[in-house]
Amino acid sequence: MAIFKIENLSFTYSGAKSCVLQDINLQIEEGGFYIICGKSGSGKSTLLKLLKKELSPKGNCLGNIYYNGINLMELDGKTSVAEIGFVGQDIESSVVCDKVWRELAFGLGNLGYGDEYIGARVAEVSEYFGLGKVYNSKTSELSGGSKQILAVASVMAMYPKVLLLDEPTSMLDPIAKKSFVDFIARINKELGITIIVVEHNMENLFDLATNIIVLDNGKVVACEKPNTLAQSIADKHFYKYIGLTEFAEIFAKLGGKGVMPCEIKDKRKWITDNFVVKDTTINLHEQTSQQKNVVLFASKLYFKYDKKGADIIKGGSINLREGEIVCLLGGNGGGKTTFANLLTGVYKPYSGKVKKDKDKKIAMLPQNAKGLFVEDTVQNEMYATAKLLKQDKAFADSLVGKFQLGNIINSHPYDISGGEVQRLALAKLFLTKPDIIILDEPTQGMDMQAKEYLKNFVEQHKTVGGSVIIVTHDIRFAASVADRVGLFFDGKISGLREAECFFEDNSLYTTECSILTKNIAKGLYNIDKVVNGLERKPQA
Amino acid sequence: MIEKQNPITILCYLFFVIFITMFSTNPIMLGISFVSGILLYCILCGVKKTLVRLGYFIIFVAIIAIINPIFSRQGMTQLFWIGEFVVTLEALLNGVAIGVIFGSVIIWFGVLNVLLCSDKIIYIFGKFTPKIGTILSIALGLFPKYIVQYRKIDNNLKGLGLYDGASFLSKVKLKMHTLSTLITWSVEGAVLLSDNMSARGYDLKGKRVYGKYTFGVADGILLIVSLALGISILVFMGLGSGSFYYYPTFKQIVWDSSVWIYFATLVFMNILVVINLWEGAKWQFLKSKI
Amino acid sequence: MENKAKLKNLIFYIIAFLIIPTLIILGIVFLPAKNYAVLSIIIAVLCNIPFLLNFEKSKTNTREVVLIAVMVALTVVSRLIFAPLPSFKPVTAMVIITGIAFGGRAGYVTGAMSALLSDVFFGQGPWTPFQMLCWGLIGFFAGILFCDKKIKLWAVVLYSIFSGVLFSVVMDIWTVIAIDNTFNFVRYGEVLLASIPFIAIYIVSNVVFILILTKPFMKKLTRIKLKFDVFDNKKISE
Repeated sequence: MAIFKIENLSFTYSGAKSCVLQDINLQIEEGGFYIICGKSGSGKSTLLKLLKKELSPKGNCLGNIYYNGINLMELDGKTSVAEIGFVGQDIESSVVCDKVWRELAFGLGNLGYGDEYIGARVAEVSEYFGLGKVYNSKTSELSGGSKQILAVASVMAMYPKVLLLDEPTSMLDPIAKKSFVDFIARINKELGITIIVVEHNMENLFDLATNIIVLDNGKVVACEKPNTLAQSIADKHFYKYIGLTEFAEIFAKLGGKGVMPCEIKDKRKWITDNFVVKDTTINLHEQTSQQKNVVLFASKLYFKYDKKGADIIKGGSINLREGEIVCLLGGNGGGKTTFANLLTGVYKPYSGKVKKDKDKKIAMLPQNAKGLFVEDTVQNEMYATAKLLKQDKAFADSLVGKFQLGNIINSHPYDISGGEVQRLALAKLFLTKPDIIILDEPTQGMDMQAKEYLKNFVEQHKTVGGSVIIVTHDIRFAASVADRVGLFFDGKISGLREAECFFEDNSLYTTECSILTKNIAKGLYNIDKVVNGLERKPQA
Repeated sequence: MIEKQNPITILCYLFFVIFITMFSTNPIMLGISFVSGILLYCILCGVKKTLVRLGYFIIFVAIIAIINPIFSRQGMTQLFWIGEFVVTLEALLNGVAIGVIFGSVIIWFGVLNVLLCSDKIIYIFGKFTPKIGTILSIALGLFPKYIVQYRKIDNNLKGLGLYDGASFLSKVKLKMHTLSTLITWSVEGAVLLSDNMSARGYDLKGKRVYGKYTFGVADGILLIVSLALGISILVFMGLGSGSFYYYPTFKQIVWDSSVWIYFATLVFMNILVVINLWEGAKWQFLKSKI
Repeated sequence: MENKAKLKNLIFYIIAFLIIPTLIILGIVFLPAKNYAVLSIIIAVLCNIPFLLNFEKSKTNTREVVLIAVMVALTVVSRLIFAPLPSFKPVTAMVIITGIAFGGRAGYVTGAMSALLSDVFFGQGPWTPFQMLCWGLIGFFAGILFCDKKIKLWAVVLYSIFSGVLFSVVMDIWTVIAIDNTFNFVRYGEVLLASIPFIAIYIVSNVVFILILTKPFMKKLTRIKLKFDVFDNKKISE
């Protein structure tokens, strides 16, 4: 039986002219794993929130949503709270209380259960999800991944029948992402709980899904099994923006037909069966850009926060040349951000030295730049920063144009989309007229369009002679832009090398493309290179 | 052991102890309160911290003992003259007594600080006014996040080079800017947080705040004992037993019926100490048997 | 419906502002052992209760509860941000602004809980109930005087000076009572005199923070109030 039945649903936000959702008809089967995807503004988050009565946005809603045959609007409050669980993308606000045990008990307390009953349920949930060790900890001491797991666990304590997840992994690093996805898969497979996820990056979820629902401009354009999704949409450019896995995107772009292979050996076979490498003479050449000037040089930096604490940076070195993009990869908590702060001079190393070309200015774009906005409109935000930096308003205005902020100039910085937030932050950064820019996790929480913009932006900055350091855990993004790549591990950068060599030689820490084409061709480490580097075999 | 006691019981007990201490003028009563307080503090926090507290305590008592004769020129036993002022033994010792009252109260509040951690404060408020309990819990959870965010904003300003060679005034201005940025971020974040709470049923009627602490037999006994002993000690003190005065000269301490009040106070103020030592000894005994 | 709510509020004000002073006087006159220190603590604790209960009974929704918690946490953090400057703290200003933006009830809770929580970090003592009462009342009257009206900045500045003075004066009364166990005007004068420099910095900081923070802060809070439909006083009193 369908757990959710959506009939002719249309929705318009109050005050908006056009509708976000248009005539949606869907059936969500019990025990299924659904992914809702689509470009930014396609209405995917709105659809998810409409399924949760308590979070229904204000506006004009036509059509009906049935939960287990009952109209959602007539559903009893307690049932809705307990049976339909919801977890949002913002990790910081997904946890309410100060202690883990109180967090787990929060929902149950709201449902009005007594202490003894709550105690038993909380114990069950923490045991099942392995939260025993952190049970008495402060929630602020948990890592981002554990916070998100806690958020789901505390919903699970209410014994929900369906879990709604709104971009739950967008703020997590790859390792945390994987363990969170495993966690969700376990809930789906072992407990039979229906899962509906909204995601703009399906990388890890793709193979788990029973159905993928694609929204575009408020309409359902596809509701398919993952392995048949690729052929259901005609417009090939569309795939770029819905966050498929690398192979799924390649499969779609290369015009794959029929059922998509899902295991790596079948994927490789599909490539070798259908395609040949265009240019087999690619030679990997190390150190091509050596002749250019070094603009930033740091050697053997050491740094720690506390006098008695352990070193965070242990001999980190880097040399950055003019007109080049360097990516530093590595997991969270490895000291990447600290290292970047050493380069910009926010922190001072107690050993080692940072040398910078005197004529070059350096500036850093921090992670989650939204938290740095203070004014009430985008324009005022630009002017306020210009004033702090003693720049004139005309310059600020010119940057507004350059970063395409013109149409949101009077919006509040907290009301604009993730991509626009980043453009505003970059515009503010350019008030300092930087030559060297450091971007700290710029792709975190960004959708594909924003990533595309960012890619074009850094490449353009490179062509005018600027240099970029990107600190990220997004290997796929790094592979698409980097000239040189290094792995930040144990307080230092190990092996800063040309991107081709880095991805070619790494067998584990590398892109899916590189793994796929390992035995087929050299240097095909990102999607563009694979798609352009292969050509279809003449049909026999 | 005291950890598992119900917070309301603990609060009730400590209230009585502190009130009795503040009502006392009698040196014996004060001595009992002071020694018991230090003993309990020592058990809870270890010798090192206790010695530090004791150091502050002595300095504090000394200061008040010196200051008091300056203000109070009562008393019969003249010690010496400073210019036109006479310093009397009574005033000096009265100062010591005031210092000890205050010092003991601070020590007992130190005990309270250790015993009533944030969890227990939230529990107590949650039982009486659940909304305040929730507010406290959320605020305690937000606090560390705000500190982290504050550092981030501050670092960003430093990264822009705004702190380099800034004057004191512009540094204060930058701090204001940081605070203002933090306010925007936190106020906007409040909405996401409240959505999350609504999703988990905070809007429902008939909600409760879950507390880990149960009210067991031991709590009941301790509560009854604290109420009975505490109230009776206060009543008898009100009726004049164990009263003491410093001016014009000291009252003689006589060993009459008021001995009972000293005894009762001694027992009352050491309940937690005894329970603690007893359980510690039991543990040692059981361990040695293994 | 509205009349009933008004009546309820009236009863609350009578309890808060008539019964408590009566209690104080009764206590002073009739309590056998005239121990003012104990008496004053009991009274401070008692005074907090009606305000907190009034808040508990009020129809505050989830967003309002969270916003108050946010203001409490912000106030405590703001005390830490300016920790290097002694006595120069934005706490009073933050509490006043909360009162202005969200009304007296929320102002009281924010003030009192900020005092309680900052004492969890900085150490509790017999002064905690007094601080709770003082900051709470500062927030409360800020709400009564300025909430839902057009803000005259000079009036708020005056109010902040007044509350700065009052806070110090009240806290000094407590200091004197604590030391002497009775109220002594000579001693009180001495203590006040000694604390003049602190009071001065305190007042200056109040004025500075009110002048700088009020406008942007109110903008931010008003935006939240409008966007998320909270702290509409007409709606709450229904």
